[in-house]
Amino acid sequence: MAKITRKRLARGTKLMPEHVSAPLSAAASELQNINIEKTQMKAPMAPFCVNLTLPYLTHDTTPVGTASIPFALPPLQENFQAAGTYDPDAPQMKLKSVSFSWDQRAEPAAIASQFWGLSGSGTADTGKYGYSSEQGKITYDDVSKLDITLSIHCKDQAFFGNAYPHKLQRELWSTVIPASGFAGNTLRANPFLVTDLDIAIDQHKTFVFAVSCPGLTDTQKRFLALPSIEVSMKFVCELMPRDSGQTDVQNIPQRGGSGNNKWGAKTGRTVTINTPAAGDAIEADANEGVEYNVAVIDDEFREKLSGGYDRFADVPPSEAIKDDAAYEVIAVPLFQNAAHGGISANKTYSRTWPYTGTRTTGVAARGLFDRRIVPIHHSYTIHHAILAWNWTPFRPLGAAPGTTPIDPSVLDATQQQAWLVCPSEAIGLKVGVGLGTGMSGDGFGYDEIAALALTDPNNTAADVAVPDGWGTESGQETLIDRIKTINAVPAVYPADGASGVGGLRTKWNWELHSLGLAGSGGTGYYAQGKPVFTGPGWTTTQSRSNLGGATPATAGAEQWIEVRGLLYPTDATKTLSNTVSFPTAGGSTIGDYASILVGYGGCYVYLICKKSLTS
Amino acid sequence: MTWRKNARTITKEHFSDGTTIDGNRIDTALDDVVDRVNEVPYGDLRKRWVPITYVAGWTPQSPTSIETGEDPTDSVNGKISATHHWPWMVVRNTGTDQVVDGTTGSTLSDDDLVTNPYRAKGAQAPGVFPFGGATAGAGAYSDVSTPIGEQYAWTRSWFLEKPSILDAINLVFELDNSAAPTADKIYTNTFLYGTTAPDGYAASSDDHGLAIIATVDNEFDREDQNLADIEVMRKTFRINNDKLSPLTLPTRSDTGGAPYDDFAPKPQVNAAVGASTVGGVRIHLDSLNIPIHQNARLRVSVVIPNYPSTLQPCGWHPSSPALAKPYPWLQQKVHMTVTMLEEVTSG
Repeated sequence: MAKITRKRLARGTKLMPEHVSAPLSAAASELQNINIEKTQMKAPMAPFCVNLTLPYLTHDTTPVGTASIPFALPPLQENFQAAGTYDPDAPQMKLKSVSFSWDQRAEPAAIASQFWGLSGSGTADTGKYGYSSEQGKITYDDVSKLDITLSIHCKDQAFFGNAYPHKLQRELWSTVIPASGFAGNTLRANPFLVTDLDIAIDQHKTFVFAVSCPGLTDTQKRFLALPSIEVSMKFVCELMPRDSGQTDVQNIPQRGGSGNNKWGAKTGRTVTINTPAAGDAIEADANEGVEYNVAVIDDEFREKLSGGYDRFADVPPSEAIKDDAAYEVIAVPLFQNAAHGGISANKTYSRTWPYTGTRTTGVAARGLFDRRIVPIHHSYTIHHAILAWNWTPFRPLGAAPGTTPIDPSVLDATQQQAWLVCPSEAIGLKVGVGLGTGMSGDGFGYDEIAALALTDPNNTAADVAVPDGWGTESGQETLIDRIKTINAVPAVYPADGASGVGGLRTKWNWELHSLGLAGSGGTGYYAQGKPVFTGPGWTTTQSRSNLGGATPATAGAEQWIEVRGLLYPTDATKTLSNTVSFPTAGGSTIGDYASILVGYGGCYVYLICKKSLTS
Repeated sequence: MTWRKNARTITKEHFSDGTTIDGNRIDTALDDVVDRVNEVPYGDLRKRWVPITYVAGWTPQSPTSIETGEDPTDSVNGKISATHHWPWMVVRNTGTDQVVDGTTGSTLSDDDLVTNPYRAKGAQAPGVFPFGGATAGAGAYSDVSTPIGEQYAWTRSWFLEKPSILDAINLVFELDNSAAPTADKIYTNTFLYGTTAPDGYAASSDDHGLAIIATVDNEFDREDQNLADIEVMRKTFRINNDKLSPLTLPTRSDTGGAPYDDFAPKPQVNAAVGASTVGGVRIHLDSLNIPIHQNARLRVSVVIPNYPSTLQPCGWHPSSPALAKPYPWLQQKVHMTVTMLEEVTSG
């Protein structure tokens, strides 16, 4: 505890110099030794948000009008204990509020989906794939169908022992926004906010945000959509010391505001209390007087207490705050907004994704590639990177279960659904996180800070009762969790070459994987490097500690974080749609099945960071 | 008497020559010091904000998947047509054509239910007239109310419980490298007007049709977008002035000019990746430092043009592939990051 105490001056006490100087010296010591902790602050916590986005949600999901996205909030490296035990020093966090919104065109109305097909309502331009001429238009009549349920769930992580079938275990919070909340002419609950939740967070669990709007479907084909969904879950976490050290933090600036070779370390101010000698008189405003010494402390507060980083990855010349950093999550979406909600292997669907060829002619070896560019303006230390991979089933053409929207002789009925988890061993996944420099600059380059490479999404070697998945094979251990968020989970055919087709097994629809940070010596779910600093530096902060064992190529001038994902056929003679599948019955390629390559709504990469106070 | 520094912040007690210096006053002063050090108000922190990042973006459907010769109504042989344009939607709400056919408000005889005729305040683009335009013919002057072109907006909104600072809005419209193999040049918006440009602009000159807006709903009439406070408005600017890189970057990181450091999966280097080095435009609205009041409803919109056929083809409406021309939302990959600052809190 950094709090200071003092002896009270009880009536009759003989006033001694130490009665005055001791507490003032203690205060000076706190400031000089950079020991102002969170317990000494009126505001000892900092907010962070898990911000999720969905470009649209319509009725082509399974179940109808439902989307769920998992995330994890693991302890930072210094508090992470792979045994699943709790570090008593780990900062506590809690969920404070949830903001939810969608774009209803600033009208008290619902929005027609691309599948709107009400007979006689302008559907002349509607192909059997959807693309209704009414897409995106306003329907005042249908807003009453939009009861939206929001909920947050949690479960134990597979890494810490959770077993198949990986169901959700507890609902932390839920609410229903009634349709009337979107129908008012003068006030609508969009964006919608719930505050003061104060739900304690167990950092060893996986959390799932779910949104459900069953009213998006309709028996008369008055199908609706929720475009541009934005979810912002606000948490608060106790402040903590920032990262420092040349060998403890990768890419951290060598210089600080107080000089060279700081590597993020702080320099205290000089705060001197002049203590009168024993027996001296206590004076008012002499150099050893009460006023003088109180003014010394007062000076520090008048100047305000320093800490944190500025916009150029630089620290103040002198500091007083010990706990000047906070937990942070940057949620980066990948493979979102696909033409059919998710990406299915049949060439009709998969080749709507760029660079894979045309519908008639695929390009061998080509995979599904996506990236996000995230410009940064402040300093972070990245402690973990987590991939949330999506196998959530969907109906690419929006057909009701049991029906087929187009002629089955053209596109097989099973191909018009997507419920089978990539039934092939010959599929690989690479995900990378890098720091980039060169926007509007005369240099250009990247540094890799985290990576993941997996093959065989079902890891199938035998016809076993419990399905397996990627991230568990020796040398490819990345698995954090498997999550079943819906009842109609996707399925998989476990099979081996000898016995042929096994029966269908139900799988899970989300997986969390750890992307190992570059380098070594760090702490996390699996072996990885130490935390990686990133901040747009200037001349003073261009010199950095090594990253991945080498001098950083971005030279302290990183401007953006880039996240890349690639799902590809490992057999370079195949395309994604004609990759050999298992089982062979009913077809020989994954394009012949109702195969999910990317589940509905796409995937996420979460960067678990430590951020700093800034201005 | 010489000047001496006095305490002004930490305590109201002052001790100077000629005043009493008794135990009670000292006790009060020391109490103030100890209390201040033991419970530092957040106003005493020189830096008391932390960044919060809102990331979004996607790779749109490949416009080349809309194959020449196909008909959007034709599903024979599994042909693909454009499927959706989410989250882009028309900015103009007024007009029966913006209400779903067959529902209330879709015919002229229905009551007009529109509450926000034009929902993106002040975002008009050159060459687009959402409420039509007057035309002067030979000896005749006629008022035309039919919209000329359209604008599509992608709007993100949040309810901000605490006072915040809008720090930055970053939009990247990513394009494929012009030196990439033809089959891999999918997203090719040139951000140039065509041979016919809007009035006041030269043919084939830089496009000015993109707008980025941040608004906060009016506190007393929250749903009236006319009354919304515009916090950020960037419009009518040369989009091409904001190139992501002024350098002629190679399509891949290991050959084709000066190589650069890269990370896996590497564009174009690996046969699996058809995309090339990042390129395109980035609109950085940095260090905005715009205070947003508590309980504010913040809306950030990106507005793109859908030019009338008279202004096509152009960057947003390339002539190839022909069937992709009507879809400006398919001509670039999208990345957007909004950065807010929030204060430390008591929990």
